[in-house]
Amino acid sequence: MAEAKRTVEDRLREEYFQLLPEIRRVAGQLESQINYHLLPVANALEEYEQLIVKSRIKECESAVDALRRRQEGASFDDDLTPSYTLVNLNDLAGLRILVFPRKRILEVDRALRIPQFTNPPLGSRASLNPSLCNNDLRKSSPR
Amino acid sequence: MTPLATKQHILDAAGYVYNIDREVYFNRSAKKIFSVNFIEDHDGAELERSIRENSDAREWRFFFNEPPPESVKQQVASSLG
Repeated sequence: MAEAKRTVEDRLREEYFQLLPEIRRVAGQLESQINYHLLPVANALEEYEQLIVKSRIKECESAVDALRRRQEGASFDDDLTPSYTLVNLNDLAGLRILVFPRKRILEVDRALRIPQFTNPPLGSRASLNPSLCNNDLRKSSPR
Repeated sequence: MTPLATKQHILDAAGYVYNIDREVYFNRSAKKIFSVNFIEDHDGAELERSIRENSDAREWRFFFNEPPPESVKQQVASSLG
């Protein structure tokens, strides 16, 4: 019996689950770093104030769909299967910071305006800038 | 460059509808499909010219920045029904 041909989406789903441990690691590390830098703000909060840091990981189908939508006509070319990779997405892992009341936003913003988070993702400065997530992933990609 | 709103008007007036899944504008009777990239990168006059171009109306014609490969044509055409 002929083997069913794997689609681009099939291969990308496989790639996603290969990357997932690393995506989780990056998200967790990023969350810890952000929490560390926000510690002075968190410690100064009044009882009624809130500062919540949440990491999020893009779902498999969202990631595949996001990559598909980057192609003209939002379709994958089946003949180019190997050239598609999820590490081209720059939001596989992300962080959401919620703060109440609003006036605390400025403090949070100031606390995170450090080179580690604001430098562009170039060269070997692969720190924990959120936009560096995919660099981290690229380095550890199985391919 | 023609504003996108004007291009939208050109497409609407010519009976093109948007397919959100494939991010294309298409017209079944004209059998033409325009990618959003193409629309963004070409001015209104060129878009109107492409809309007016004669079509044999038997096979879909694709107006993409890069000529789409067969597999992409099939996927887009089949998703339009």
